[in-house]
Amino acid sequence: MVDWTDAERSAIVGLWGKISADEIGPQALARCLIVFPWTQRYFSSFGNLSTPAAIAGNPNVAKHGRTVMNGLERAVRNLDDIKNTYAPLSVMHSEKLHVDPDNFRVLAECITVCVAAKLGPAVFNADAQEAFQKFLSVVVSALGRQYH
Amino acid sequence: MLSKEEKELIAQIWEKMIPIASEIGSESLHRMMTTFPGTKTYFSHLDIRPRSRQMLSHGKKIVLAIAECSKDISSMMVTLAPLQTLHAYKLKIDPYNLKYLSHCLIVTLAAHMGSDFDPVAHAAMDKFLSAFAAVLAEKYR
Repeated sequence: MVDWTDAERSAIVGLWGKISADEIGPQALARCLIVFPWTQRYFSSFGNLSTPAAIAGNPNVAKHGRTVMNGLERAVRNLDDIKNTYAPLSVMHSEKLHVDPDNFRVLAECITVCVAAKLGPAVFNADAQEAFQKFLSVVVSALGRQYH
Repeated sequence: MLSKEEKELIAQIWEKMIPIASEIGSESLHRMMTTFPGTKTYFSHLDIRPRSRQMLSHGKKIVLAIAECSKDISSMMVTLAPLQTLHAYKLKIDPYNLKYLSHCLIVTLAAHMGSDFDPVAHAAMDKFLSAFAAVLAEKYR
């Protein structure tokens, strides 16, 4: 069980309400593939990933970005049981997709940067960042939990 | 590996930060100490309240040192030699923490630059700050 303060809960829910998963998701995944190019290893079926422009314009990247980011909704709605909420997804990423769990941390970093760029320093201040990063690190941990 | 274009991009970004060095620096430090509370242990001798005189001054020092390096990235080893000695023999900050500050510098840049901090700039900056941190920690052992 994770200890959330009231301030953290309201920060997380508040931030989630201020962003669009459909907008941030594609940006975050594209950023991940550009800034950390080794993450492209999982997306060889996605088509042209040869340049930042190609990645940013790739419709498969955009679609998958939306899928992943909208998946965070469940965590926001289940802050007290993220571990169990994501257990099946964790199994899938381990046994079917064979994704190195460090990639969850890397993508979380990119999501954070995209949210910061979108919301600016007054809204995405230090306390908001702390709550949001704590939330993402719980998600990252839950997704890596069923790896054996 | 930084391309010529990336080096220019990095220099341009830090050039713009020089006039607001104390803002950017103190905000990055505050983000770091809030998100990674273990880093506060290195600041027990300072007033770490956000935008305190000491945080503004300390943040400014850090940003100006980075900006100075960004003007001639290939000479980083020479430019950073005094700071290498300081960190290794006097400050002894666990080099793992350099990653946390780099991350918070990037978040601060993203928050202030918005869409100008695009993925290409982000990639270049991440590479530069990783190299900067590695050089800074070089004399540790």
